[in-house]
Amino acid sequence: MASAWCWSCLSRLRPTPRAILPPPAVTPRITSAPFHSTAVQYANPTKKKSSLVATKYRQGQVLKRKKKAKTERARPPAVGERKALRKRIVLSNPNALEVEGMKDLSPETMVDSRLRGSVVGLPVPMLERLRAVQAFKPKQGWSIFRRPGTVLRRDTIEMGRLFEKISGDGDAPEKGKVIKKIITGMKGSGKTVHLLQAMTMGFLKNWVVITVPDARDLVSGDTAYSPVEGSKPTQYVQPNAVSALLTRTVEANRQVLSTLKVSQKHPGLSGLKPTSTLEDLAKLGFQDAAIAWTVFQALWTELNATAAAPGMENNFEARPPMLVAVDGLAHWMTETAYRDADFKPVHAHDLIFVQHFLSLLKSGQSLKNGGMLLYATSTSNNPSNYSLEVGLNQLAARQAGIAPTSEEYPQPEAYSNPNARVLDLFKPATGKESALELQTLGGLARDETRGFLEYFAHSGLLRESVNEEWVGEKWTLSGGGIIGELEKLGRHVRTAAQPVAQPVAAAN
Amino acid sequence: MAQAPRCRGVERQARQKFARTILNTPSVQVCDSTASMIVRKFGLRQSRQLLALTRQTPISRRFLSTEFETPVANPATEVQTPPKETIVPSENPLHEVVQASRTQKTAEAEAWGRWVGQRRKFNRIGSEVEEAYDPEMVIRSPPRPSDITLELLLASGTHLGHSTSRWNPQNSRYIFGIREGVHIISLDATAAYLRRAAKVVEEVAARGGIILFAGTRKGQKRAVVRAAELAKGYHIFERWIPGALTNGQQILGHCETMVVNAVDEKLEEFKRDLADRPSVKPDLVVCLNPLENVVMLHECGLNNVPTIGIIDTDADPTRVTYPIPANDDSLRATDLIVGILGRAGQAGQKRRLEAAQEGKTTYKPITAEQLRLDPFTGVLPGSEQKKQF
Amino acid sequence: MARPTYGIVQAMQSLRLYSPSSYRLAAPALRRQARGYATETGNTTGDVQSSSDLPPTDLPSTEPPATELSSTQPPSAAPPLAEAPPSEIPPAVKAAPEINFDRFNAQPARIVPASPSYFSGSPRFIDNVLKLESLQAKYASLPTVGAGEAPRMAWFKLAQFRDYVGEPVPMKKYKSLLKILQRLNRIQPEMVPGEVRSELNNFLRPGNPYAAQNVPRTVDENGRARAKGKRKESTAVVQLVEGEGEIMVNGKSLVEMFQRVHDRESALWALRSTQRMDKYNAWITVKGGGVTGQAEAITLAIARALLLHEPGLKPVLRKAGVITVDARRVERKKPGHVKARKMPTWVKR
Repeated sequence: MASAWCWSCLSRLRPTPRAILPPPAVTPRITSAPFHSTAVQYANPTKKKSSLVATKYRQGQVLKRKKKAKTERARPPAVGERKALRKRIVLSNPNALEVEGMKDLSPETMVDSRLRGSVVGLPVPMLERLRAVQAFKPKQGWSIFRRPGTVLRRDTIEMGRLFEKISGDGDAPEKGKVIKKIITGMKGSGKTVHLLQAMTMGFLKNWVVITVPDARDLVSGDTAYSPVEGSKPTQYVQPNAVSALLTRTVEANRQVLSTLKVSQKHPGLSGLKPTSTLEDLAKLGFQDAAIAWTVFQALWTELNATAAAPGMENNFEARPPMLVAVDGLAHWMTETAYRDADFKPVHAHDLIFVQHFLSLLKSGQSLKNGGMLLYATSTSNNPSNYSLEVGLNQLAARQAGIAPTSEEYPQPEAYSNPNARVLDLFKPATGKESALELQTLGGLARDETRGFLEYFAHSGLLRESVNEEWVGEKWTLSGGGIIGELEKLGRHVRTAAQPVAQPVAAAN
Repeated sequence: MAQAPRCRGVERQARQKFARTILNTPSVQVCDSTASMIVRKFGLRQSRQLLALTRQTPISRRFLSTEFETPVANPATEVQTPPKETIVPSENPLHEVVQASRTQKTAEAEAWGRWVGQRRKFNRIGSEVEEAYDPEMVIRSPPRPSDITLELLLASGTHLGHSTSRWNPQNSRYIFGIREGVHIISLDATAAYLRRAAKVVEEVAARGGIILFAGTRKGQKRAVVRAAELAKGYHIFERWIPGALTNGQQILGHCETMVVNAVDEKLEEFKRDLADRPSVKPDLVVCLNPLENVVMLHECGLNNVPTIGIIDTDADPTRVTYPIPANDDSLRATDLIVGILGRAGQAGQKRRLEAAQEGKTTYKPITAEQLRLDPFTGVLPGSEQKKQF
Repeated sequence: MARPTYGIVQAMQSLRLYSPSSYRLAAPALRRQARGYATETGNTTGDVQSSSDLPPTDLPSTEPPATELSSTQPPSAAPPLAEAPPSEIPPAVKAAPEINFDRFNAQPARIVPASPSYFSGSPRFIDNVLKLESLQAKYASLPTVGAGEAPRMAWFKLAQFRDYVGEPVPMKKYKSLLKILQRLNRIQPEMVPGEVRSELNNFLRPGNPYAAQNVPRTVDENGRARAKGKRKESTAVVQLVEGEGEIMVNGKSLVEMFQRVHDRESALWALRSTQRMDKYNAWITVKGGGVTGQAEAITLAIARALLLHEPGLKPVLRKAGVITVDARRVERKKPGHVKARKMPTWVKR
C-alpha cells in the first residue's frame, strides 16, 4: 500500500517565505531537506554582548572592556639612558659669548686678591680630571656658559693661600700641616663648588686628590657589602665602592701616581713588583674588586709614607700632600640602608670605608704628609640628623671661644638620645695642632656679586647694564648674595629684546 | 484771599472764615479802619526789608509764636489781651543761651544774638495776623469742655465719618446723614457725648483715679502726652502690650510705683511695702483709636475698667463704656477731643488738690496698715495662722 | 496766631457776638450762649437729642449734666461752672475740728505709678525719649554745626543703655533715641545750654574712649620704623632701619623664607619701586596664612614703614600699589553650598 505521502508531495512542499526566515547568516546551515511542512522556527539569534554584562538582580555589574590594541611605539629608552641624560654634565654652551680677558685658575691667580670677585675659568686640561673625580654636579649651571668658571670669592682666595702654605712653596711654617674643615652653609651657598675649587687647586699643586663625590652612595644600599671577618663589632666592607674610588683616584691622579714607586711591603698583594708604581698598585684594586679594600689600604699607607721600608729606599720620593673631599657628610652620621645578620640597620660608622674617612677627622696628624680634609654638608637630599646638628653647634661654639665647660656650650637636649659615636667625632681636640674647623659659607659680598653678574652680562645672558643699584637689588633678592640664587636670578632676567651688536669679534 | 476786605455780607464772611480755617490759611484781621490804614502803610513800607531779613535767616514758625508772647509786647496789646488762664507761657527758654552767648562772644554766637534781637524788634511792627489756625495751639493749650461748640467740632472735622459701605449699623443713632457717599456724624451727638465723657474724666480725676490716655496712631503722640500731662494721667502712644492688665505682674512688674499722700507728695517710707504688690490698673482708659486697640479694650472689660473711646462710623460702640461718636482718622479731631478730655482731667485734679489742701480726700485713701498687709491674702506677712482660715 | 483759636471765634463772629477785645471777658456768658445755640441747632436739624437720650454717667454727681444746664437755664443768669460745690464736702453745720496737716500729709493716700509712661512697659526709656524730644523742640532754633564738626561723643552701647534704664529696649528704638542725642549734640558747641549738656552727659559711656588721640607714628630714637601689614590670613610686622639691604624674615633669610623669586620680589616691591633696596635693613616677623599672603603682608608693612622714614614717597608708593590695603578675605562656606557660593549640581531625580 502506498503511503499517503509521496516523494512528489514532499517535493511540492512550498518553501517558507524568505521574510519569515531568519537572516541567512544567522541561520545554521541545514544540510538535509525539511521534513515538516510547517515553517521552521529557530531560536532568536544571540545578541552581541554589551560591555556591561547585565546580571541578575542584586548582583553587581562587571565592567568588561576590550583592551586597546598595542600600537608599536618608538623605541623605549635603553636601561640607564634616562638617568644618564639626567646626570649628564654639560660644561659648555657654544651659544654663549666668550668672555674676553677671563683668566684661568692657576697657582698665581688663586692667591691674587686683586682678582677677588672676578670669575676665573677652570683650566681646560684639568676638566677631564675634574670630571673623573665627579667634581661637577648637574644643575649647577655650567651649561649656560661658554666654558666653566668660578668666582674667586674671599673663601677661595683664603683656601688658595692655605694650599700654597701647605705645599711649602715659600718655606712656610705650615708646611706639611693638616687642615680639617667641615663646610656648611645654606642651600645654594656654593659648598660643592668650593670643593671643586679645592680639587682644582689640588691638581694645580700636584697633590693627590681623593674624593667621595656623594656620601649617600655608600649608605643607600646600592653597592655590595660584606662583613669583615673577625671584626668586633662587625664591620662591613664595600668592595665595589672601593674599587670605584680607586678608579676615580687613578683617573684623576695619574700624573702623580705614575711617578711614585711602591716603597712599602704589601704581603697581601702578590702581583706587586718592587718597581711598580702606585698607579699599578691601584689598578690591582679596580681589576679585582675582591682585593680592592686591601689595595686601598696599601695605597693609603704608600701615600702616607714618610720614609721607605727598609730595603726599598732606592725609589723613594717624598709623597705629595693629599686632598680628601667628601660631599654630603650628613649621610654618614645615620643608620644606613644595610642590614646586619640580625636584620638590624647598620650604622654608617660600621662601614669600614666610611669609618676610614671619618677617622681622619679625629685629632692628630691623620695625613702624615700634610694636606687638607674638606667635608661638606649638603642641603639637597639631606637626612635631618640631630646628633650632627648638636656636634656642629658645639664645634661652632668652640670656634667662637666658648669653653666646653661653660653654660652656653650647646648640649644635646634631654631625652633626645643623640648618637654617642657621632658626638665623639666633634669632641674637642686634645692636641693643639690640626683641630677640626667649621667653615660656614655665606653669601657673596657686593663687589663679588657684581663681578659674578658682570660675568653673566659678558657671556651675553644679561642685556642690562650692571650698575651698583641693580646689583644691590639682586644681592638683596638673593638673600644676601647666595650664589645659587644669584645664578637663578641671572638666568631669569628677561628684558625686552634690544638690538645687540652682532658678536663679530667672537666670530672672527 | 489773604487780604480779604472786611465789609462784606455776614454769610459770605463766615463762609470765608470757615474755609480759611479749614485750609489753615492765615488771614489778616485789622479791626479799626484808620488804625488799619496806618498799620498797613507801615507794613507796606517796611515789608520789603522785612522780607529780605526773614529770607536771610531761617525763622521757624514755632519760635515766632513763642516770641510773640514775651512780656516785651507793647502795653496796648497787653491791655487787650486778658490774663492767660490756661498756661502761663514760660520764660523764653533761649534767654539763658542768649546770655551765655553774649558773654562768650564767639562769631557764631554774636551772629545769632544779633538775629534774635532783630527778630524781636521787627516782629512787633507790621500787620497783625490774627485768628489764624495754628495746629500747635490745640496741643499747647487745648480748649476746655465748656468751650465745646458745634462750630469748633465742625471746624475740626469731627463730623466726617467713613464711606457708607463701611459703617457699623450700631452707629446709626449718631449719624446725621450721607454726603457724597460718606457718613456725616451728628455734631449734636458728638458734643453731648464729648461733654459726658469730659464729665466722667473730671470726676474720675477728682476722685484720684488713674486715667490712661491711649492713642497709638502715628501723630497722636504729642496730643496724648499733653493730655496726660494736663490731667496728671498716664499715656501710651506705642503698641499696647497685650496682657498689661490681665498679666500685669509679668509685664509691668518691673515698672516703678510709689505711694503718695493726698497732695501727691511721694512718701519714701512706704517704699518697701510696694515690693510684692500687683501692678497698678487704670481706673479709666481714654482710647483714641478703638479699632486698633481691641485687645486693650477687651482687657479693660475683663478688669472692669471703664473706657472712653472715639467711635467712628465703622467702629463698634459697644466696645467702650462711654463712646464719643466722632471722626478718629483726623489728627485735628482727635487732638481736639483728647485735649478737651485732658482739660477736664485737669479741672478734676484741681478740685481734688483743693480738697486735699483743706484736709479732705474725695476718695477712700489707702491706709498704712493696708499697705503693710499682704495684698493677696490680706494678712500681715508674718502671721501664718490667719492665712489658713 | 497769638491766641488760641479753634473755630469758636469764627462761630461767634458768624453770630455777631464776637469782638476781639471783649472775647475773654465775656467768655463764660458767650460760652453758654454758644452752647445753647449749638443745642438749638441740633434740635432744629431734627436730630432729637435730649438729656434723657444720653446714657447717664455712673458717677455720683450732684452737678446736673451740662446739656441740662444749657437747655434749662437762661444764659444771662448762668452761674459760673466752678460754683458747683463738690459733692463730698457736706454743708458745714459747725466748725470742723482743726486738721493736723503734718499728720495728714504723712498719711498714704494712693499707690500710683512713678512715671506717666507706666503702662507702656518701658517707662524709663519713654520718659528719656520724651525729655530729649522736649529739649530738642525747645532749642530747635539754636545754630548747629555739621555732623562732622560736632564733638565726638561715646554714647552708650545698646547693652549699656539697657543696663542704664533697666528695660529691654530694642535696637530700633534706641537708634531713634540716638538720633535725638546726635541732633542735640550738633548745637553750636559754645552755645549748648546747660540743661542740654547735663542731659547729654547722662547717656555717655563711663570714661572717655575718644580722649586718647592716636599719635602719628614716627621713627623711634634708634632709627627704627615699625609698621604692620595684613593680607589674607597673614600679619607682618616690619622694623625698618637704614642699612645695606639686609632682610631677615622670622630670623631666616629671605631666600629660605620664600623659595619663589616672585614672592621675594613682591615682598620687597615697596623698596624696589622706590629704588631703596640697598638703603634699608628690615627685620620682619610674619605669621599666619600661606606664602603669597605672607609676602604681600610684608609688602604692605614695608611700605608703611618706609612712609615713616620718607613721607614724601607716598605718591610713588601709591602708584606702585603697595600702600593700598587688600581687604579681601576668603568667603566662608555656607551650609547647603558646595563652596562659598557654588550650589550642588541640580539633579532631576
